[in-house]
Amino acid sequence: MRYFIKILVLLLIFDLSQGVIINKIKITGNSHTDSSVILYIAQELKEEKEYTERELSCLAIRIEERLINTGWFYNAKVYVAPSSKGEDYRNVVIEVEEGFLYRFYGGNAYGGFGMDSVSGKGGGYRIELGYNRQLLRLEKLFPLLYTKIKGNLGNLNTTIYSNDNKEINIQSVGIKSDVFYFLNPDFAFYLGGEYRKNFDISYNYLFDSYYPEAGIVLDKRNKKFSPSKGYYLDLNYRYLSFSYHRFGIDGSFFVGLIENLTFATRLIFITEDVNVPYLNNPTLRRTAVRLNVGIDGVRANYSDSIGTSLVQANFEIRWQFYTIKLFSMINTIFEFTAFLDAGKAFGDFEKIKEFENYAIATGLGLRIFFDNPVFLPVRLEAGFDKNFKPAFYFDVNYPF
Amino acid sequence: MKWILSVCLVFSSGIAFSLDRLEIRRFSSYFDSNVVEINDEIKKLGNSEEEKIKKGVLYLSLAIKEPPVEKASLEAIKILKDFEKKNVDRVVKAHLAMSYSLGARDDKNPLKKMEYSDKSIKLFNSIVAEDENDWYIRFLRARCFAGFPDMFKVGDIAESDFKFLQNLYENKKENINPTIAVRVYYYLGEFAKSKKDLDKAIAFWKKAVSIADENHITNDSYRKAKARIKVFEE
Repeated sequence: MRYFIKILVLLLIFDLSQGVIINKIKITGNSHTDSSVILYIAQELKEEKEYTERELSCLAIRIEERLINTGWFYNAKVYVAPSSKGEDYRNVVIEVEEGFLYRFYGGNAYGGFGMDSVSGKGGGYRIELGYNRQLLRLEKLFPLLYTKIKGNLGNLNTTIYSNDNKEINIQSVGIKSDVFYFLNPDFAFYLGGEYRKNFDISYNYLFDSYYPEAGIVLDKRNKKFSPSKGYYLDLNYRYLSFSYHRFGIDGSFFVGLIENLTFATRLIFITEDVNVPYLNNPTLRRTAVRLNVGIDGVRANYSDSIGTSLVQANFEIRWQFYTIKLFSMINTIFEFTAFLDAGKAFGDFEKIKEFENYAIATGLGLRIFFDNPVFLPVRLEAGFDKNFKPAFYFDVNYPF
Repeated sequence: MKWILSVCLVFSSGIAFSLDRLEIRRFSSYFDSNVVEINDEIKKLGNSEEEKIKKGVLYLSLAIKEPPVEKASLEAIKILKDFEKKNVDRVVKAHLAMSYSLGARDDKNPLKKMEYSDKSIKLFNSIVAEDENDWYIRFLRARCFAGFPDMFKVGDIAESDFKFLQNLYENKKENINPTIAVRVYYYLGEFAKSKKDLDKAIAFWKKAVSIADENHITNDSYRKAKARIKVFEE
């Protein structure tokens, strides 16, 4: 019996299943997308490298998910086929069906348009125009260097609060850029920063804001919209005005309970050591929570909360109750959701335990995802906002 | 006078529907002809019932081509739908059902697409229900249903039809033409591939190629099966 257990333990510790070698990796169906970009997404696969059968089949599933998540393909399949080279060899065939690459979306008082995988090289752009923003977003992929550059340029309207807690609208014109280095397509380090010039609504100059930043992103979600398993984690550090530290965690977790029923949660924690006036302008006070942290709409966002730290949790039960292929072309998913949000801004960590100042919102929502190939997520929510007032919200975006 | 007319009508309908299955299937041989040849044949045809059926099948042949001839499927529907309620061989109705499915592919109007898809599925299923052992009809249904998008959930029906044909071919229960057998094995390979059973898929494609080589067949299923083996195995 002891020997049996030892052998079992050995089998568990060392995967003793027979290894197979990849003979060739072949890509079919990619008339637009460059093969180097697809190989970058499948970068764990290497010709002449040995894998266990299990490893190879798990990788095939994950690469399929990644390919679909790019939104560049109507369909993507990864096959592991026996090779004529020998019993120990396998061919990996990546079969893709090129998709619609233009994107349309929108949010609170703005609309967005863009394109993905321009020239098949994996880069893209977005133009966001509206009452509260005029932004150009760009990204460029360098598949052979496992690197991506992301940048934003333009104007964004935000609200900040003065020392006497009055709302002040500011126009914020600037540039933000980050360089991502991918250890694998699910895991990246990034370095970058932002520089903005801030004006009041009459375009009178107020102050500059800038920071360098560094972070880690881990993305294991199985789908782009409404994942049913996996997680997303962003750990971020910013050195505000080269004077104050800001640390943030943004994590989302998804668990499939039964088929089409998912429990989704998002947790945000931000803390800054800004407890003195941050801005040069003495009439304005920068706090951690002046930014629109949280989710737009009925949800409990915290733009008017005061504090140097913030904790926020969003919970959703999502039920995808109907799926149809509109016009035999557009995968359309109808999802019902019940949500509960809770969060609090605070200056003293001791106060995190006190429930009285928590903002709580709850309600029901209907999401319609015009998924592959148009990727248009429509969001309707009705419920009680953090002031316990009935509220209704419509958006063309996805909460998390 | 009424009697005379009735007798004439019965007599003429007797002529009109004297087309037997072999003759109708002979029209289907144009499926492998080129577009010019088919168009020349269409021009020669008049408006008798027999010729209308032939014309419908020829338009269907044009719709099957890759790339398909524009509006050929809709023309086939227009002609063959007159025979939907008539007492004609099931093959004519099966050709109409095929035309509906190709019309669903070709029509720009999304509502028409849905309507044609629905008509094709219902018509095929009702014809097969009349005689489940009619292997030729099941072959036509399988070939058609294999091309439907997943949302119509007819892939399983197509696969079971192809398996039925495989069984008949391997046990020599029916005189199944090797050209059809090549198609059957190619599609069985495609179904195995969709389930990621590549060993099985490659075996089916190899079988398709070997039947084609033995019988000097070079149809599209042969070419596709050969290409699949090259991509997946070599």
